[in-house]
Amino acid sequence: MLKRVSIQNFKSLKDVTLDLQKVNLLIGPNNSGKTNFLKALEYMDKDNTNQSEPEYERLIFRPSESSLINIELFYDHTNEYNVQVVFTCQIGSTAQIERSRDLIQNDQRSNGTKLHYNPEDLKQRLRPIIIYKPDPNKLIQPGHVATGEEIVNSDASNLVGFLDRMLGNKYRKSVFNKIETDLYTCVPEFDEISLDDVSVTEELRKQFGDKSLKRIGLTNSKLGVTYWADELSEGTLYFLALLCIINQPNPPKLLLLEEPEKGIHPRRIEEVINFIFGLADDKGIQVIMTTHSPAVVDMFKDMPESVFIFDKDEEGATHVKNLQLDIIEPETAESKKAGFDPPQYLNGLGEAWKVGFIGGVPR
Amino acid sequence: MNQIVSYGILCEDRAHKNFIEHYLTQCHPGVFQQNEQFGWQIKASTAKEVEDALPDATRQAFTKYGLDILFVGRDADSSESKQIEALKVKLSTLCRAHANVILMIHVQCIEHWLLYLQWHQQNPESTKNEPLEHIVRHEAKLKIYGGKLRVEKQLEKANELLADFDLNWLESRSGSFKHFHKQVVTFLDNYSR
Repeated sequence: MLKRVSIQNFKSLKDVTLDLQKVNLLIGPNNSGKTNFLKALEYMDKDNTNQSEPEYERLIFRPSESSLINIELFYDHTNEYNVQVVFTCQIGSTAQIERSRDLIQNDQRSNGTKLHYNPEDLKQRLRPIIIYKPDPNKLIQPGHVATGEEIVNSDASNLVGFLDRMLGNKYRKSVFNKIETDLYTCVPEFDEISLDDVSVTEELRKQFGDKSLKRIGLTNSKLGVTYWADELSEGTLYFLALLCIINQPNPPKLLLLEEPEKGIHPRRIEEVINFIFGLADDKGIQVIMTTHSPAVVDMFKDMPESVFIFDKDEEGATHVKNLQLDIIEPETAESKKAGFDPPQYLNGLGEAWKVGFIGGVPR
Repeated sequence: MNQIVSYGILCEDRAHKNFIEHYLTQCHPGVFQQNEQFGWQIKASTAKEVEDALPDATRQAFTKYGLDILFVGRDADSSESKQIEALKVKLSTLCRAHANVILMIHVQCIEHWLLYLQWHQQNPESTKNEPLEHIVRHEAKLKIYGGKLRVEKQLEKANELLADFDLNWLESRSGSFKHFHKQVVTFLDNYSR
């Protein structure tokens, strides 16, 4: 599991370190640096070692003040107890990208003795790293088939092409059937995924060209009823997109999700988040997600150590606080000293965030 | 008094905040200064949020933000005195650990205070004691805001009534305003000692 991420001078992230859990929630106002954090993780997966970074000036936080971009990922060693593996990416003033792998044993870093760097080491832990933001509005659209797509897009807009590919012999058993089984577990009213031809209207031809199009449907085989994508709830479509993401032939070990509540009815949000918790519990997928929904925040009331609050200071640098370590614990100690009741944020965490007690709110 | 009093507001909508700011500027000029950090950081937007947030808001107000006084605005949403008293007890209990909290609880809603001011503006010579608190909420809002929905437009209407408003007259007509004003005066008496 990815234990810690430490970033210096990458976009707005002047100096932030997050100690991660199995599931992690990033909250804060728009433009506070949440997506930059996910982008830094995405950057670590790039094949650009020893190359020059053409976007260096755009990536570095305030070029006049700093010159070294530093991103470090800390993992537990696979075999050795009490040893951590650190993957580092540094880009200095020459814009040259340098990557290295290091070890930490008994809190001592092997100072200066960077081990031979094999990019595959990190890729195996990360890949594919995509910031997912499934958009239920795009899932109701018909899509092209025979595209050979084995990777689900960031917005899951290629689900038709992906499922069509998974229906082929190569992936039918290992992927497609698994998605159907998982779907039945999550949404028991459906046990089959169907793809059906769409008659191409003039409007669709303008939008998609002349290629053949299909639409997604979910079927209740007992009742013999199929509901097509535009008849399904956003929550159900979101589940389907998530199931495709986690069951794709090369599934992510670290799932980065932006605003999983988007387009979902408030009552369905709980089901979606609960499903995401299940991914961490049952499939060992580590999750980092952002949200703007108090309802999502409420679901983290029993794991405040998993909540990270992003804010920007006046110079535009992102600061990140951990809800448990940086807010609840010190405020509880201070209240005890002053003889006041301790903070009661966890009784209504979403509301406490919205009102502004824990930070992460717009001005 | 030569020391500026640092204050914050926890209330359920902008009409409350606007009233408190006008009241403090007009009735106690040069005495109060709003804590800017608390002002943008802590913001409730419903009656439930005000109640739920009260214990943490008072604690943070006096420990984290170093306020001298916290104003709490909440509509009673009722004209029944029993219910209003129960609400006062409830809110007082929620912030019992802190003395410097002033509760602004209106019979029905804040627009009823504005309604009195409107009546006085329209009948400046009248000495008739016309009770207005029986008017239902949506009617009161319609009379004050003239059907405007956008908050900024509503505040413009409110500000027309709040410009140089007659404190003594409002105190003589509205018991809930009198209760609010009395708390402020008592706080200032104690503060300057």
